[in-house]
Amino acid sequence: MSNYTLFSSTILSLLQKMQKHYKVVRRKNRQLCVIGIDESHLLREGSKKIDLILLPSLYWIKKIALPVLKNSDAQTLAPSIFDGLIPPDEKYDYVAYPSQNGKFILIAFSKTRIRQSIIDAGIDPKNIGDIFFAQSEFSPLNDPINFGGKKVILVDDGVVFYLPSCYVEKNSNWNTIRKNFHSSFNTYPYHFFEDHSMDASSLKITYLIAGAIIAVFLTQITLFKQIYDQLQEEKNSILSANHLPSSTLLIQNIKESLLKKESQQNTLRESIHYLQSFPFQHKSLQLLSSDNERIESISIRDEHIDIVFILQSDKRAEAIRNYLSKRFKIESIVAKGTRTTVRASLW
Amino acid sequence: MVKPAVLFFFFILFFISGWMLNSSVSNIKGSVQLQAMENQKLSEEGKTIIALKDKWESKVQLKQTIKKLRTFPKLTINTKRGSRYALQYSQLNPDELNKLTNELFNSSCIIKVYELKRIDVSHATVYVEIES
Repeated sequence: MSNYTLFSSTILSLLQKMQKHYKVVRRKNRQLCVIGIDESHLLREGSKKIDLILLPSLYWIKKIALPVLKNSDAQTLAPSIFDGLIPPDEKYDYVAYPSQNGKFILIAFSKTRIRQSIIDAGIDPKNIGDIFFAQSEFSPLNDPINFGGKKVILVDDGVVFYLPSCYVEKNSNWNTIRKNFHSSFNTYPYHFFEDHSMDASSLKITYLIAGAIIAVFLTQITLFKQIYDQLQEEKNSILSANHLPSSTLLIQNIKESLLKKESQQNTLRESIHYLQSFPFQHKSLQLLSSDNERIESISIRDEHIDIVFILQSDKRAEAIRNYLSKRFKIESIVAKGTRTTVRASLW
Repeated sequence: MVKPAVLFFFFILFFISGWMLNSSVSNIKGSVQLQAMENQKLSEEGKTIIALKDKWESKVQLKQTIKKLRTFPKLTINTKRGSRYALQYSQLNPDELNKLTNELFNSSCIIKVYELKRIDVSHATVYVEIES
């Protein structure tokens, strides 16, 4: 398990090193520029892409000991620490860097001010690569640095200051240290300084659209509710007009009972008609003479049919059974002389 | 100015509300369609039931049928037993038998008992009981 942990941490550190190396190589070809309020100094020429270092004139810095361990926690506390110390007329965002002895360097900056400085310096935001705070880039330096202007970068107790050069006796020119200068990895992309907040008009439009969509839904619900209520009323009127019970099951029972009644009465009528027009002359019945053969009686009572035939011989009974069984369920057939009595169920 | 996090929260809230509203609309729309179908079915069944009741349970129809059957010739027995009318026709020739049978079959009364007895080759007695 420990071998596995060691292996994965080695791979991870290797990947991080590769990533850093890639960034260093990528940055080597870029222009490097420091910008402050109403000033910018090109430190290195290169490709179209520009890396920017923001001078301390663009933001507020405070070094403070805080009872927290993480930068993010310190960043959370930053607004209350700066409260009352910096002009309240601007909207600020905050970053935090670790310093010596458990202290943190807190930076309060205005995104609008930084964007404006970038525009004033004539830099197209599309060409910006990485953006650094001077605090993270120059804090390791010992001597004041002059970029060629009337001000110098001075590091005192880990805090980077940007002062008029007359305040220091001796300063180094940027060109003397540029070979040993490597930018850090505390970078921010340009969109970090963009304002992602929506203005009041866009917000109003959004609210209007959302409100309109909700209104459409609510209107639909109200309309459908009205239609549903109308249909309920219609249902009640159908029930009362047809004298129907409210239960669907009861309605089905009534319908089935009536249909059964109709079916039975139709069957009864068809059976009577069938028997009254009994085909004695039919070939399959092999009638000898219709004059002496007839239906003596038909009686339909309690779901049964009793038919009495007068036939010339007993053999005729079988032919009659065969013929009647095609239509009725024969229950019994009794032949006595010329009289044959057939009992069948009606349904 | 509104922060993206707040906007995102509102977007999620709006999305959930929209989804719930859409579900409500779908539910009520489904209920409306179901109710419309049920009403149509109910209306059709109501018509069927009314037609069947008119045919098989109408007192007016029954009275008219009984009235016709009573005026039919050769009626020998004409009584009412409880809810049943008993009618007997004697000495019916084939033509009269056909007419009586047709009259009986074309009416929508409920025949409970039907008895036919042949007296000779061309005459028969018919006894019917009709339920009121």
